[in-house]
Amino acid sequence: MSEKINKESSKKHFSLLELTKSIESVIKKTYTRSYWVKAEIAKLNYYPKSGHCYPDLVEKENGVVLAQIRATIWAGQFNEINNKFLSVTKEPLSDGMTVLIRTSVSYHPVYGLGLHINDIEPSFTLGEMAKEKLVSIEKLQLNGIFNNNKQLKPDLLMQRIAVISVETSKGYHDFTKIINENDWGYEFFHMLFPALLQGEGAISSITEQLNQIKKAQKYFDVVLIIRGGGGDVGLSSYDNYKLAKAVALFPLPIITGIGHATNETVVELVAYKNKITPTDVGYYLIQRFHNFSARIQNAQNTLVNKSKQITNNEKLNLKNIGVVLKNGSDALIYNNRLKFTSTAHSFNRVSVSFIQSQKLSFASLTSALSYKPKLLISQQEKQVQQLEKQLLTSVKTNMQSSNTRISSLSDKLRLLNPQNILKRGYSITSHKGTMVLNTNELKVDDIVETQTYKGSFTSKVQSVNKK
Amino acid sequence: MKKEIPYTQAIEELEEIVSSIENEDVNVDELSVKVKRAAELIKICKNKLHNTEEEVVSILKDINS
Repeated sequence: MSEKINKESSKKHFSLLELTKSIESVIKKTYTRSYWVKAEIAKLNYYPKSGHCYPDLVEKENGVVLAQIRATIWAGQFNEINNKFLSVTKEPLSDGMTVLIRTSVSYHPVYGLGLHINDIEPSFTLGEMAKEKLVSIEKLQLNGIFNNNKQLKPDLLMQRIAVISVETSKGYHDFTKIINENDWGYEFFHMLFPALLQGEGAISSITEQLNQIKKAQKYFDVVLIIRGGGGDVGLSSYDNYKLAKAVALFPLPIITGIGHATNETVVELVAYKNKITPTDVGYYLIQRFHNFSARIQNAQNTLVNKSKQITNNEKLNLKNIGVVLKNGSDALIYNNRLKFTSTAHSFNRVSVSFIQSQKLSFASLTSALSYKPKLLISQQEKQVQQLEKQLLTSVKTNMQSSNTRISSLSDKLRLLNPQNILKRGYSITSHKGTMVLNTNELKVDDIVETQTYKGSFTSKVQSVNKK
Repeated sequence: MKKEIPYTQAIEELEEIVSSIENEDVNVDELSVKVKRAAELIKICKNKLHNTEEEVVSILKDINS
């Protein structure tokens, strides 16, 4: 590099290209080979269209960026590097990863300083991931919250389910099919809280949905994080401390079914249960229903059998009592019958003699009865005859005295007859049919009739001598 | 109508009744009362298996509050 002299300023100077070219040559001389460098991918900056990748690499300490540099992975190498990485770590290259890169340092007068990444060692990242996992576990244990979710005492039935999943995922579909179409008619209520389930975004997405569910926790018995069809890829976020902490501290039991067969992630470790696949989660929930149903059935069976037994025992008791009662009463009846028979005999005897005595007295009564009335009747007859006689006598006497009186009376009557009086010369004078007893009744010239014993005559009153 | 007891309580009471009958702590008069109560509890528990009452609307209301 040679300095030039500018006339106007009279200072020596270089052109920019000269400087940058100079830098380029220094760097080329200094950094002659590839170096293994540990760095964190702050941002991957992969452009699928061109296939090139321009990761921002950083080194941080306590969140403070200590170093930063732009890197390049050319399209020709990116797929190879990424596939190898994916097969070992089960994660694609992504933001936030700590990687061990093999890189050369390059400088270009236009594009500046950069690193050319020509290889990435996946086992290093795997180790870093394992380290992060260990750190997460240690932190959870240190804070005493590792077993919090496991120690929850959930309801017997996990019937109301908040599902964190992706609506279109196979795992979610498998799960809903199992619980919606169960053969026992068990009824579940489930509600989907959609979230990203893999990659860096999963941490915040799942945490956010957990916060939502927490607001409505009284409506749910359990939270599921289920994922399926994604294989073992993209699970490193489940080792993240923040996410694992959110799961561990969640007030409802969380069951995971994020579908992989290798080592459990921290989230799975702290969850209430890890059932690996969504299908298994579905069967687990149904099994809890079975267990509850079996308890009811057992209780019911025991109840029926035991009640039958108690009732049968009671029946037997009653039967025994019945036998005792029957035997007792039979004996009693027999004894009483004996007593009764003897009583009957004596009664018979007594009554026969009684009847006989009664008969006797009755017979005497009868004879008395037949004798007495005859006597009475004959007495009465005699009395009547005597009364007849008396009556006859008294009537005769009465008649005689009556006859005497009648003849005296007829004598008197005969004497009193006016004919007889007229015979003796007396006459009866009457005026207008009325006997004249008083001359006051007569006037001069009255015509009077005079009756004599034999015949009558009329006369005219010449004078009246009043008395 | 009185509120139905929670199913957890129901099955506990049910199993209590069953164990008291199992221990033959009951006479025949109590037995019929207990069996009647047990039948009610069984009904509550079985009913729980086949029914839920949650409403998405009220859940969303809580979430968005």
